[in-house]
Amino acid sequence: MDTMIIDPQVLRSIHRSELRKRILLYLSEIYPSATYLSEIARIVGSDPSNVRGALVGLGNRYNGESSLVYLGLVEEVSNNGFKYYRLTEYGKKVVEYLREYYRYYRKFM
Amino acid sequence: MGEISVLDSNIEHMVRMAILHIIQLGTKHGVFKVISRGATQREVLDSLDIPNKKLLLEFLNTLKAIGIVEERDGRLKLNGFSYRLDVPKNHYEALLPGWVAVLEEIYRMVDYAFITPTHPHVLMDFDKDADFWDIRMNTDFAALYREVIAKTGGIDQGSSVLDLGCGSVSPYEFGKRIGYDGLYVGVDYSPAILEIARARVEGESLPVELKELDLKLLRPVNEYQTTVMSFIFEYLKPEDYRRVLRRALGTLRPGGSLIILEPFRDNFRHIEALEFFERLNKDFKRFPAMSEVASLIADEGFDASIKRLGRSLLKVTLKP
Repeated sequence: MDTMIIDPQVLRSIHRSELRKRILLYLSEIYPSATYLSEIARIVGSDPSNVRGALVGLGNRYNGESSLVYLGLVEEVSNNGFKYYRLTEYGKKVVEYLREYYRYYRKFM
Repeated sequence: MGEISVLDSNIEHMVRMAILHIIQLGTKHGVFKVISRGATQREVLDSLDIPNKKLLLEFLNTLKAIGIVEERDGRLKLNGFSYRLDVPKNHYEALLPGWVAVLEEIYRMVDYAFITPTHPHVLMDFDKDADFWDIRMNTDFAALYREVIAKTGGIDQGSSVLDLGCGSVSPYEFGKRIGYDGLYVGVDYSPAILEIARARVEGESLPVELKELDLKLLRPVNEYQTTVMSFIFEYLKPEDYRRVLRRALGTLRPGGSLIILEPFRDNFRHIEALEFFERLNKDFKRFPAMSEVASLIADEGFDASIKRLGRSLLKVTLKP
């Protein structure tokens, strides 16, 4: 999609957030599969409430407007009363950019 | 429509869109309102609540250059500028959507630049904002101009290419095209842009060499089949054109070609509108004229043919 807006400010903000970055990289590894919250938390080595905050926002600690679902990078899928999370096409593109810019961000940001 | 015509149509449309956004900015920031009272330039600068007066002055100069405003007896006047935007089928079917999204981001940056040129939402610096430039160089429009350059310059399997002002995407794209028996040397003065280019090229182990260098300091050592200069003159002072051209031509082997791609100012009316937005990059000077570049090449006395291809492409071929 040539008209897909990739906002450098979003990329930079995710680069600075280790947890959000790890979640995206894991969801990218299993793409196009979806997985549930506790599985993501186990893989990225974090507390489920922190992972939930990064995914959908949580009170004051994690701003909902910078959450991965709000930004359109991850989608929440409900099935039989369970919620699953999957990388979107847009999220996939963002992960590609994050990988390509990793060295640049480390050196110049 | 051929690829060069598509390229020209897209540049033409970038200029058209830029004019509309200039009018939008003038309306939004009250510039036209003040000018309509017959104010002097000084009065316009003083009365508007725009902290970045330098950019405001550039905006006024752009309005004058396009012909929206004229200065008479020391006063600025709206001169009844009329602009017609046609939507012909043969033009629109050639338009590529990718550059629109990027230019929209740049239009938005002007509001922040009117506050201060170093505002964090202004993402036009080659080093600080190399990610934005990389995204810009990844659009369908950029893919098209690389394709046009490759075809015009005969860049293919086994070619040797020198790319002056290579950016972060061309090294990978041209590197793939020339393959392992060719050579691609990319030169750019932005270390950040080269860092992104390197990450991409190393991932594929392509036969690409990247060098950080200011073009004005270029010294021809090796000879190449094709030398590329795309969107690079706009960052050079006109007084440096001759020296850079001489050295660029000096990098060619007999029979080799120099490909120059630019939105040449003598071929695109009202290009000052687009220049206003590009000038958010502090290194931007102005788009060159095709006639001045062609005549400088002719003056240099190289035994070469100069071919004008469409409105944005020059091909200079040394005699074998």
